[in-house]
Amino acid sequence: MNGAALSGAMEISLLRLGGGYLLVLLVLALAARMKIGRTGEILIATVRMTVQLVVVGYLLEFIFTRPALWITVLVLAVMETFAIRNVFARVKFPASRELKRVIVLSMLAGTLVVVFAFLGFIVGIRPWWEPRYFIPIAGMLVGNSMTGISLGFERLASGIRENAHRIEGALMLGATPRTAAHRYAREAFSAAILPTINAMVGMGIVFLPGMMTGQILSGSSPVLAIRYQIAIMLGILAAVTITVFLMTELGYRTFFSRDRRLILPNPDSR
Amino acid sequence: MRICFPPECGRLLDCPRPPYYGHTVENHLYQFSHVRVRDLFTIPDLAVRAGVVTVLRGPSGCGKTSALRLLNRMTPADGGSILYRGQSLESLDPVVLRREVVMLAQNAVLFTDKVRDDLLAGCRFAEQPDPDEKTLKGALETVRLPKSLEEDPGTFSGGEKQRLALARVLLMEPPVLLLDEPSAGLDRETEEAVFSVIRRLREEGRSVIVATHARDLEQLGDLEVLLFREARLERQARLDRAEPERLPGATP
Repeated sequence: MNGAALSGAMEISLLRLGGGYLLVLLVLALAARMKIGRTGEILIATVRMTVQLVVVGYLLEFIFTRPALWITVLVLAVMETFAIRNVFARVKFPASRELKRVIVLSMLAGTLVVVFAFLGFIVGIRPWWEPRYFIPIAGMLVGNSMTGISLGFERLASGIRENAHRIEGALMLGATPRTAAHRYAREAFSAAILPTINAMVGMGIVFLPGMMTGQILSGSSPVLAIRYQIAIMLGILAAVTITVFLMTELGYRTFFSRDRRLILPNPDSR
Repeated sequence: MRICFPPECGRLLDCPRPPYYGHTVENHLYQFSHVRVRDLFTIPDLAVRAGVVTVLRGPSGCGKTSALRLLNRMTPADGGSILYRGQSLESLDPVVLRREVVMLAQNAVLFTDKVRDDLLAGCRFAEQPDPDEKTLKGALETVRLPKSLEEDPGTFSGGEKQRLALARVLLMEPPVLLLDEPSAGLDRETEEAVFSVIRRLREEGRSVIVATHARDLEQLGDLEVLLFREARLERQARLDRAEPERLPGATP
């Protein structure tokens, strides 16, 4: 291990870590007793978690010891791609090509603006792409935006689908698409930023956030750790809000044709 | 007295000079030629006159709703041309068109949880000024809906919701009104409300186009009838006079 920041952490020996896997045996025993038949899934999840973390640990170690701009950008691109694909995969509704384009655009715009503002401005690291800072922070912003946009997308698509007759009824009375459907964009926006707001409200009382806990475990003073935590929370709030705002505000328009008709992908409305 | 155009129609028009179209030889509200909607139906050649009540008749599923939706651009045509007051329908802004050609869907939609706001919804969507209290109450009377403006329409029956929706479009004073099965499966009160709304709009010189699978509207008399026959929409006949004993209210 290198780096002074880790000096305070108590190292877990590999032997003791192996002991941790005994807990999995306990889990398997309990699962068997409850006859849920998920033994395979539990084992696979444990193995995946282990392998993924080992790989990412060595990968980050490698990247941090040889900081390079192109590697940082590549990692960011991989994160964004994975996040966007995950949004598409998670949602039950078919999305039009235009809506997918809106999701990609919102995701990139929302996260990139905040990543650069955060690193360049609030943390003020030089160079701005220093991987030790850039990668974990970008990861948190992208991850939270991904959750927000999935939720917003789901709410927007279901809101418009479930109220299709009402939206059409309004269009038939001469409403603009905005008047007829903006309400569902607003509802989706509100629902998608709510978890972030709730997390801020409970922070420090209901739970100690992961980043801060990690810094404290690695020896940082809690008073310093909360500065980072506050900064990242503000960053997450901004990234989620910008992403979801763009997605809902541009997204509801993709449900209307140029001649102002409501179009639902997979036409089952009429 | 003028000759209707195009000449194949050849009818002498007794035009009451309605206020909503320029009174030219082209007394046509809509003109269709070679229109096709998916594989559903075609409209080879047809005109819909302004200022009269036109009935679109045909069995369920023949495309009556789609034919109505063609008229306000809620359904696109897949070929052919449609003229509205002599202008190509596609050249018109759909939102502006729908403020003039107002459509009432078959299933009444509620937009709010108060009768007053639901009545005002149409005017607000179309960005018209709100009618005053007296006008709102008058509209409820016209559609025979004796409810307070403060009530929650969520508890209304299907017929009452439909009458509320009728009052809403009446308040918009549309030059052209499209009605899709306005009283199908609903109560007698609603049917009479539909008749009185249609009669009133006709008296005011407005155009009404009604899709229905029943013959119930015949008692209104003086109708243009368009019929779906083998996936084609054609002109059938003009019913000039209702038999007096079949008028609602005349029967005991």
